[in-house]
Amino acid sequence: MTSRDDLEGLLPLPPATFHILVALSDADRHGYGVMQEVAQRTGGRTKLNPGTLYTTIQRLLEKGLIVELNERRDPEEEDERRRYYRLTPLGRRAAQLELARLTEMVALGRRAGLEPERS
Amino acid sequence: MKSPARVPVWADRVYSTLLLAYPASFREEYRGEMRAAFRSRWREEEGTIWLWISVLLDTLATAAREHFEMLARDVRYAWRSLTGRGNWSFTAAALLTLALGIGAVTAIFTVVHSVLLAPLPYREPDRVIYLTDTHAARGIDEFASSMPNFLSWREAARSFSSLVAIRGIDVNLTEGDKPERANGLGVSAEMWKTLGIAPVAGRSFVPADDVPGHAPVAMISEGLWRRRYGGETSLIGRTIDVNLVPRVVVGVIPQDVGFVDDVDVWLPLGRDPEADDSRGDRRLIVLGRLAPGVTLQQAQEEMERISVQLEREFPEANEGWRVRVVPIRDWIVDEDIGQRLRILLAAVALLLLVAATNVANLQIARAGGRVREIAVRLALGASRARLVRQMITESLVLTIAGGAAGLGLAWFAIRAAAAVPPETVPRLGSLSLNLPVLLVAVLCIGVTALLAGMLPASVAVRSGVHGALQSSASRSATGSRAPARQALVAVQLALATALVVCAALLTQSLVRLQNVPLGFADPDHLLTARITRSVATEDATKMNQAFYDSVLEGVRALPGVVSAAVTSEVPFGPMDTGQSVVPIPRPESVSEDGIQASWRLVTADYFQTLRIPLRRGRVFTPDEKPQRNLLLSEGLARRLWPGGEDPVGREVKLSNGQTHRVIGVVGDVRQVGLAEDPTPTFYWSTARFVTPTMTLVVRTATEPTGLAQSIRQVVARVDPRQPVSDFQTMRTAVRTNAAAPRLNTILLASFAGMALLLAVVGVAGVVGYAVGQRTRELAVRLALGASPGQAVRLVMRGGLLTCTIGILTGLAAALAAGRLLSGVLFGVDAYDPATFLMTAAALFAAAAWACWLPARRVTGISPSLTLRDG
Repeated sequence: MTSRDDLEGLLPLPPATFHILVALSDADRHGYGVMQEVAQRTGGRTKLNPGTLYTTIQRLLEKGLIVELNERRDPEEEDERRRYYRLTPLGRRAAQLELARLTEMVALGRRAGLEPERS
Repeated sequence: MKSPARVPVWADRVYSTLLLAYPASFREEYRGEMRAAFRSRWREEEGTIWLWISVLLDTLATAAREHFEMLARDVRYAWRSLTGRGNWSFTAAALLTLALGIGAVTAIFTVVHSVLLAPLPYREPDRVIYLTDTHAARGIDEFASSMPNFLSWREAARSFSSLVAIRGIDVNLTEGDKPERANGLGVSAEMWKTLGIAPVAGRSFVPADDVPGHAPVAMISEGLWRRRYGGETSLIGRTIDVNLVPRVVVGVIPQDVGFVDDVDVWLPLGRDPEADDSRGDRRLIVLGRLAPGVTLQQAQEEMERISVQLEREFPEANEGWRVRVVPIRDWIVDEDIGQRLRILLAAVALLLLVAATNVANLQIARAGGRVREIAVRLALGASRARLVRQMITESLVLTIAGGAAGLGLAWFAIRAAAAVPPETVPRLGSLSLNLPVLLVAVLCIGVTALLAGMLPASVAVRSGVHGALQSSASRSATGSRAPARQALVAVQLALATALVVCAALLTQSLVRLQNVPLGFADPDHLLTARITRSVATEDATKMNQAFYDSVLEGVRALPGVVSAAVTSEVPFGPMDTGQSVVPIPRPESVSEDGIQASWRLVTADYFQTLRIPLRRGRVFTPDEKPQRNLLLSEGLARRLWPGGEDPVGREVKLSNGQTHRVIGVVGDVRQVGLAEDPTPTFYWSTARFVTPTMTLVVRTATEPTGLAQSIRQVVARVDPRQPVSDFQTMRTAVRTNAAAPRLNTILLASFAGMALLLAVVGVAGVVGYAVGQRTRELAVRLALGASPGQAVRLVMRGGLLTCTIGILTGLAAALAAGRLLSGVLFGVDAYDPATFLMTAAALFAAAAWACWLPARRVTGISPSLTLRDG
């Protein structure tokens, strides 16, 4: 379990981790659901592989950034039982901190005039 | 959303196989969902090659990371657990045990590797062959060869791409103001091509170098080049004085040429007018390289044919003589040394097994205290595989730390091995902790970690399951552990017993070897030194005889000198010389080939100086005449005239064809080695001739080594350019001769001691554990009226039974090892019943003591307290 004070130590979050936290920010999802959500939100540019997805999920569980809900049926695939995951307040906080960090970086780049020119 | 396409079965299978890359615990947790996720992606992307590549790379990367993190976690956990409070004694005991076991194996394997396994410094070393003369009827299985025979072989043999001859040449380096005696060999020009050794600097010999009248040349060893000539390349082409003759240095050859590493000067073979025309005068060492495609067997068959042919052509010189071809390694490392090393390697392997067993036992004992922890983790859903993995990691951490300490010990041991006299073990100079040795060490560490981790892990997990099923306070789970520990203790005792029996046999053998009669007296007050005369004139013998007369006169006058003599070779010296002797007339019992005997040249004072007793007749006078007189050793006289006739005044014929008269018989002397029976020997007077290298022997009244300087001065007064070398007492020579068996015995005895100590600790541990487990039961018995003595016996009974089984197994193992051991034992039988019985008794006593130490705690049990609190 990670305490609130230790959250800073987790930053910067790896992109896959951030994507998963974002995908879980508005709804509980199962693993595959997270994968689809990430793909959808990024317009298909980011496709998580199963290996990355589940090793990251395992790590987020260990650190207490997400929790596992009881198994329930997947409404789409009748036969498969799936575990759903929910963002914890700690996980939400971690995502927020990462967002703040990224925002700061963006601001930093803008101030330096590095914004790409729009055609 | 796309319409779902079917995922082919093979794709699903391939992905399932890929999942095997993950740690089992992770796989079990997520396998189903990961496969579902994979199927979804397949449906979306219709199984393109890019999907496969992406999934494959992702799997490999994340699986590696999972494994690594799990390992890191386990190592951290193991470290905390091993260094935690209360675990220090366990950790220290285990580390020490492992360090000793792995260190001993590594050190001994280093020696085995460099002596028996490391390739010789030749091109295709397996093709290089040693050819030796043999004579079955005279019992000679190794003898030098003669020049005419060598030339005949070279002409006739097709099995060899080249054959080369080597002869010893006594050498003094006489240029400058520091004359120095050096080791020299004369070799055929094709020597280095045959072996495949390239010079360090300059060039090799060419056939033209060996043509009479050609400017004399020499090659020198790298060691001499650096030591005497500062390693300067400019030496090539310059001259050095070898035996007063200037020779041009054409090249520098590596110090280690495989079969010797102490030769300083290499000369062209040259001619020895005394020996080279005689087929019967055997003085050459012959080496060869097998021709492509020819086997050792084919070469042996061809040489057999050639020697039969030569016997027919030259029956006088070759009757009964054959040739044996031997891979050069078998010549360099003789059977005896190989055997000793194999015994030591087997011994350390046993020691390592004992060490691993001990650590396993310690871990099981410790696991007893961890049943609760393991039960909790199992209950929380940890898989058994996961727990076993974690415990093996713990064992690995322990073993690696112990192994590192062991490598350190091995390094020290190897440094210490540099102090072993080089004559003891061939090729010991090249010892180092090299890659093959390190690989073996790593292998040892891995196997030990598995051995020491697997059993405790499975036992712990099993009992952890019990513990989880029953109430956590229950202690009955420990019952399943006891048999495993007892079996381990029995194994330990068996190994220790086998080692102790071997050590006891070797120790007795060594004691007998060191107390064997030498044939001469008081070696502590005998100083020897070698003198090589630089032979330059035709009239050398007369000059040299006069030289030695003057030297002896000067040495005898030195204070503290009792007597002094000169001989061609002292007992235990490096050289041996042989001739066969036939009595005239020949008794029936002596074969036509006669008796093979060593010969020595001695001055008149030799027997008095060494205190070799005169049995019959007389010894030589200072100017012995006629020159055909000789003395026999007792053993030779007995073999020549088994009927017990008085040999004095009788005549014998030697293999050189000459007839000699016996003037006396002297006591037997061990000439070549402590383990060898006294060599049949005859002695000539130096009035007959002297060899280029002679040995000075001085009997002193005081500690002899202080005389070396005065002796040098005496020699320098007679001839200022004459070096004297190799000063040592006969005691040192005798000690050196027993160095290999002594080293062997010391090492094996210390391994046996360690194994015994470990086994005793193991026994005490098991019995102590049993006492702890049975405290309640014992308290009940005591409360019901059992005497403390009965309770102690009860506890000891189980332990002693285990020990007895172990000891008996060990004795059986030692019997089985007898064949390996018998080759190196001297004067003691490998199956000596007394040794077996005594060892068994001693081990049983040690085991009983180890049982009693913890068992006596039983008497301290207070029934009322135990039963109330329990």
